[in-house]
Amino acid sequence: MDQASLLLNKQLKELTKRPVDGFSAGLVDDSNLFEWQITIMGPPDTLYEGGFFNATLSFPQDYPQSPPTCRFTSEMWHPNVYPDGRVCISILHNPGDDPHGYERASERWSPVHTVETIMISIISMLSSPNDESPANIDAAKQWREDREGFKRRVARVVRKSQEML
Amino acid sequence: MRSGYAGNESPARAESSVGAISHQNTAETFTDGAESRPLQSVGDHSVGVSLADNTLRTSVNSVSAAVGDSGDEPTAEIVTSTPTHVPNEAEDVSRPTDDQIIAQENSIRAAEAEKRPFVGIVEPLSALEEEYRQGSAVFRDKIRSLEMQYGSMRRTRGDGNCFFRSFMFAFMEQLVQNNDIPERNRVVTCIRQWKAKLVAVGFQEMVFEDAMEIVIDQLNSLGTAESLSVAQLEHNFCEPMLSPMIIMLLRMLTSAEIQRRSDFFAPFIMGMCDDEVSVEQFCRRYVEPMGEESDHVHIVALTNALLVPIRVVYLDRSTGAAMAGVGYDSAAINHHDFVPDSLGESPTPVNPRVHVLYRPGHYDILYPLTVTAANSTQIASC
Repeated sequence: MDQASLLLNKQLKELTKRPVDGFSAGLVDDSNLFEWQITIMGPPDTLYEGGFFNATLSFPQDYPQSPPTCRFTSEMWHPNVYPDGRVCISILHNPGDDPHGYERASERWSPVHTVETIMISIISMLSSPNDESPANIDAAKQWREDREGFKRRVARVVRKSQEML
Repeated sequence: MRSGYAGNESPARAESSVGAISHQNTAETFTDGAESRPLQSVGDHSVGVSLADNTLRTSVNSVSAAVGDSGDEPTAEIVTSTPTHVPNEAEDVSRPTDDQIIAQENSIRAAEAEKRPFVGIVEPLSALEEEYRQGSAVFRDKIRSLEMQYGSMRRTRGDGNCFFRSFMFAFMEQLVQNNDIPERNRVVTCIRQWKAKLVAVGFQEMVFEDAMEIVIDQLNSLGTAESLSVAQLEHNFCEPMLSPMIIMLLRMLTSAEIQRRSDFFAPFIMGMCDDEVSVEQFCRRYVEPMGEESDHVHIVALTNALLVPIRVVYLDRSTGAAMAGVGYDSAAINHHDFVPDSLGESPTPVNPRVHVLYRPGHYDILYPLTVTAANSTQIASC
């Protein structure tokens, strides 16, 4: 087994044995360790509280040298999530990869990250949007200029995610 | 010093990013082009870097400007177009997007880096002389001085991991060549002791245990019927799966050492970064990610983490006299010995186990002519 499969397999076992608060994780298809199905519980005391958001994590063959991509499959409304669901946070970018003119000093991908640490970062992103390098410009603008409208829109995606259960 | 961060590339990377802009490079700007980070002794900020740096900055600005502009008329077009492409009003249609420029720069960089194996063959120092035949006289003089101490070198790939790779290869190669079982035993014990310390600073065991076993297995083969050979070591360090794992482990050890002794390292880190970063943030941003270049802080931490003394020899444009405070000798070469704190107290001088050559932005492995020659000859020290 290659290093990526070994490491992903360990994580799968560990997360099955000892689930972590805030999300649940498994494989999309049991025969493929590189595609994960995640459900993120909207963090308490945030606009996303009560939501159950599905996402996929796709790992490259050279994980952990390179980061996975994370995409919400549930509808999401957030400045750092592209309209197509892709999550845009700095730790999911390689150091040399800077499509957004990210603040250079932001924390980038490193091989120490696991499904658990990535999910913790995404949950933290839900709690505190970063509107400086938005992936969804409309959501970022609304977050900045029309907080009430933003809250209503998020409440809608939370409700939708509950209906999908 | 972190302000030049984006321009802080190894020579190959610096060359390519500059090359993408100017399409012309001489051997001289190539080596000087990368910004110096480790010591004050290397202070050349060349045009090459500022160019690369400004270009990056420009692309940052144009993105934020475009984001600002689109605020007035947010169109579905913007968000649904290629996600990372943000159109700019002033942008000429024929001009590549920032995204394309970055992608192109990255691919040039990767292609440049891949021309060189992770760890190259042993070359005589005359190869270095040849490289600078058309270059600066300071460099040529210094290379001649260097030849008094060192007979050969190995080049390593300029992918930002060159210090860690040079260090570990040179260290392990020496253990293999000397079949140095006592030192092997010491370092294996030392690495094993790091397990608990890595966990204590928050690394999940599963992210480092495989890499740790790989390194320990190689070391433990010494003295057995299937002992590691230099050829096997060369192979392992160039193997696409093993090589990054070794680097990864060293980066984690370095990070953990810095975090464990954050009181000691914090003032150095504060002095290096323009913005306020904590010791932990520094490690996450500049130590743990692959490809982040090594600085003085990284070297101090690694030498202490593994208790292996390291000599860094600086081949740069600085004139020896200014640094050494001795009689003028433009060819004098600065070096710095990184000695683990616990060995620094020893009454007898500590001999470096690993010698690396630093040229602004890049480290290669150096081999002393003979151990005695290297120890008995005084070179101007910084």
